[in-house]
Amino acid sequence: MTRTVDVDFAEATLTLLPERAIWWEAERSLLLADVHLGKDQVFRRHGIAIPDGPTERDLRRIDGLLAQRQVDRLIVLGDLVHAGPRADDRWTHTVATWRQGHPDLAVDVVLGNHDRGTARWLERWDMGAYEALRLGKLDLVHEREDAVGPCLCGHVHPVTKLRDGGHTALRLPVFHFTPDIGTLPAFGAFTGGHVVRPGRKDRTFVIAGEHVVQLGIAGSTSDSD
Amino acid sequence: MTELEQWFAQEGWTPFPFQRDTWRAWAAGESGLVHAPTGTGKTLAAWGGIVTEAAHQAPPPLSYLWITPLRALATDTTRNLNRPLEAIDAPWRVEQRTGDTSSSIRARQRRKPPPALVTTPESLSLLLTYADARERLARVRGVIVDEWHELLGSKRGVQLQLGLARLRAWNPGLRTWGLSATLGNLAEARDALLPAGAGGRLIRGVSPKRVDVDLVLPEDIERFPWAGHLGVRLLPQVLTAIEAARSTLLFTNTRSQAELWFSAIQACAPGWSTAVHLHHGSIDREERDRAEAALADGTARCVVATSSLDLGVDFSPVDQVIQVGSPKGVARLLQRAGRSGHQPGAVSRILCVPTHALEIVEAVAARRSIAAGRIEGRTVPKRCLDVLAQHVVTCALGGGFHAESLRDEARTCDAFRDLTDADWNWVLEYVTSGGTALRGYPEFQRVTRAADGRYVVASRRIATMHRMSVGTITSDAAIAVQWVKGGRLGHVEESFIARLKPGDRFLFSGRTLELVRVRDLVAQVRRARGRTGTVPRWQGGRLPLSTELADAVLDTFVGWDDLAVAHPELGTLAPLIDEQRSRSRLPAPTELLVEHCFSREGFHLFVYPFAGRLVHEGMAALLARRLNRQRPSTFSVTANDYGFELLTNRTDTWVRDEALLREALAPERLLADVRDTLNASEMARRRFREIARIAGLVFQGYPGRGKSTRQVQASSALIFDVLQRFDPDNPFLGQAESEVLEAELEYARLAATLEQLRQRRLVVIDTQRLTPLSFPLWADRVRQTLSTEDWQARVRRALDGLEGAA
Repeated sequence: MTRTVDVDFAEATLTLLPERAIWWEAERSLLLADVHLGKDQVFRRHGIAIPDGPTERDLRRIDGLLAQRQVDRLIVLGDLVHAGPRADDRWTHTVATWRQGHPDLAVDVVLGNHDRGTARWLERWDMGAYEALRLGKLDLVHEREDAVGPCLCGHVHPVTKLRDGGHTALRLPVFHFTPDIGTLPAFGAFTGGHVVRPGRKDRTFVIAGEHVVQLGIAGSTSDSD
Repeated sequence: MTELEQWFAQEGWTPFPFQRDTWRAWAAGESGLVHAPTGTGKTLAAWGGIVTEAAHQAPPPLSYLWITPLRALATDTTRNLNRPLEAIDAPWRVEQRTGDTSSSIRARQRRKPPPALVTTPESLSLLLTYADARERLARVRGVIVDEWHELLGSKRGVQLQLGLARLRAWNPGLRTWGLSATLGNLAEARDALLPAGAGGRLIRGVSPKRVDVDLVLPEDIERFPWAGHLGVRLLPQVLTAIEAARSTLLFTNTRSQAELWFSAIQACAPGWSTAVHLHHGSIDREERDRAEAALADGTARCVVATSSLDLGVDFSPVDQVIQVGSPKGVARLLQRAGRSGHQPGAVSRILCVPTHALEIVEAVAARRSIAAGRIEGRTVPKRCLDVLAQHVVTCALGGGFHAESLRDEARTCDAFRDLTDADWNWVLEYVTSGGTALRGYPEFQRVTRAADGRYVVASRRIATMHRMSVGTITSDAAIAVQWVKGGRLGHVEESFIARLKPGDRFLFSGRTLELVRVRDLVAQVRRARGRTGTVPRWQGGRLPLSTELADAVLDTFVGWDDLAVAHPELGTLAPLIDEQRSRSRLPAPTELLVEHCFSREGFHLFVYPFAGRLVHEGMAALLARRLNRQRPSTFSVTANDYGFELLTNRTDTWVRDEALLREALAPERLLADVRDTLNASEMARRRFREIARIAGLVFQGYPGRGKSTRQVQASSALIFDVLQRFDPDNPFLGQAESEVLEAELEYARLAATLEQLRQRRLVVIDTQRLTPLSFPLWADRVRQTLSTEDWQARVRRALDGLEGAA
């Protein structure tokens, strides 16, 4: 069984999912950040032999999340794509086909730094494009600097390092909450991470396999650096 | 008499027979390898043939290449090669071209190439990427590879093999000569340099210089040695030795030891502390240059160095060489000793400073091996598909290639003489379609096939990216260390800084520093008060004792009583040896000694295969794993160069059972067991950095090179994960695993050791207490689990207890 964690944040109750997404039940909205679709393609165009697959798989993972609950609206907190697609990029068809499979779902994208030049494509895929959104008492942005009040954002791909007892350290994605900024882990399978160092008032939730676990709570290891 | 011989006569020299031999062989169009200790005239042996051949007329552009492993050596080499040309008034000069050469000089060299070029393997590969490479390089008539022993065992050597094969295909008359220090496998070294199966000359330089291995001994030997204990305690004797000589090179095995000794010498040196320098791979280039310059002009009294100074032996000899700690290998000690007594025929002398008592045995064992000419060989890498993939793209850029002829050309290299069609086809597919034969990666493009069937690189962007990535040298990400107010001190590995928190102190570059913050790839520091601190631990610290030296140590135990007469230093160990004999016995090559005893901590099992630290680590983990399968239990494991310890519960005395031990040390199913014991996949993931960079799977670009490349930056670990999930049969993944097994636990040696242990008699002894052999293992484990002060106190107490009982 997977284990999720409910977090109270700016008067909202958010469910942190081990699939690296947030389920906001009151709004029936699913939130993701930093999907970076088509990144493998960009690498291949540069002559770097990355297999075809991550893009397809990320879309299947979204399907998995949609199948488990009644989602009205999917909100992407920036960097839906890795780079503006080219006309002959095959993966754009994969996205279009995926979109056609969810006609009743609203998909809104807060534009991130990688989404420049995608307006045309978002329109074609029937997705809304926004500089920022507001939902409940929360600003939904890509980079935290763009928020006015408490916000949810992406962009930094937060991870933490945990010692596994031996000589190795594991890098695991985290949800990182300061008192007024909640940062989502990167959703995309082909994305790296940036190690965050939580402050004293922060809450950090690590994704360990199929579980979300709060760091620094009794019983869990808390050696994050 | 040739001009060259006249010059020799003017200088008052007589050519050595081996020099004449090499000149004649050169003139006869032969290829080969010249091996001799450093500083005995190898350079002129190889260069003389060319000087004679081209004494009166400048040869056509790029007739000769001189390959040097270290670009820092290029300047000195160029000067040395030009000396005879100047002396005989030849109408041409040698130039150099390395990564350090300015772009204006490179441009001029492109317009008007010099007749002979001093360059590095990487720069040669880069030359091969130009579209007109063939026109320019087809005239190369001779290549000389300096310090071939340094390149031989690495992927750089493989890259050079491929480059030479290319030159040979263009000019079949090409002569190739290698210069090498003394190695245990010289014929193999020659074969790796020359076309497979071609034979070639093996010319031995002046008969080996006499090498004296001396020892600094402490006044009283503690009965029980333990790692690092004698440490800087021998400083007074070392200072006396340094004062008695004009110049001293003090080698340590690790950068942390170098830091310790440097601070200690500097603090105690009377009056000449400014003439003490530090040289290791993490120190800023400028400071290293200063140390090298001080060595060259004779102002340095003492340079404390690591293997960073092992190269470049042809310049700046010193009066005296000191080796701190285990010599680790015979060839290594010889090489270091060769830095002193530089005149042909003079005696090289190296002074060994043991850091624990058994290193006295190692030094004597090394001395005996040198006298008997038993020296380690270097393993020559085979089947490096990452290097081949890079070379294939290089050739596609450098005018293009036909698949079959390039395959056959690669097979003339030693590393690829057994290249299968399957491997070759995969590499070709990898660079053309991404590597999966069945579907290919959509829109992938790197190498494309032109209308005439040649494979070429069509995209300018890919050409630029490849040229920026040519080479096989990778290192752990380097973090710059600099003052908060600016000013750079050098670099440390990322993994070291990651263990420190702001406020922690460490010794670096001879200073005690306090970490302030890490930002991007810069660690900002300030001067710390007081002198205590962590000493950085770098990767270099894990070099294991070589097979040859470990065997020689065992051999020394066998003939102990006779040897103690011939080598009086061993006499100082008498109490320790007596103790070992009375409580247990001395290890022997025909036996595998196993000791066990109880302590408050539990039941200790000590095993002494004498196979080097890495093998012991692997073997200990394997043994623990297999015993655990017999009966679940908890083991804690420690290893050193002589053996390993398994510590378990007091009740688990069953692990000493001989039949069980035999079974658990059997060589069968080794790979499978090692895989699940060591989490080989996770280790391979970290090892993947090198392969990914060489094969062009990660692209680092240049800092400040702009956004065009930022989009395609990803960590090698991430790429490893993606390949593992979406292309699990990718051969690079398998290559990473076999490389990591070899690098982290010397897998081949582990397998050979287990095979050999089968022939040895198992001797299991209940020793009641710790013995001189087991004590260092015990102390190492305690050190790992306690903070520094606790450790010192506890070891001291244990030692007192044992001595009281003895």
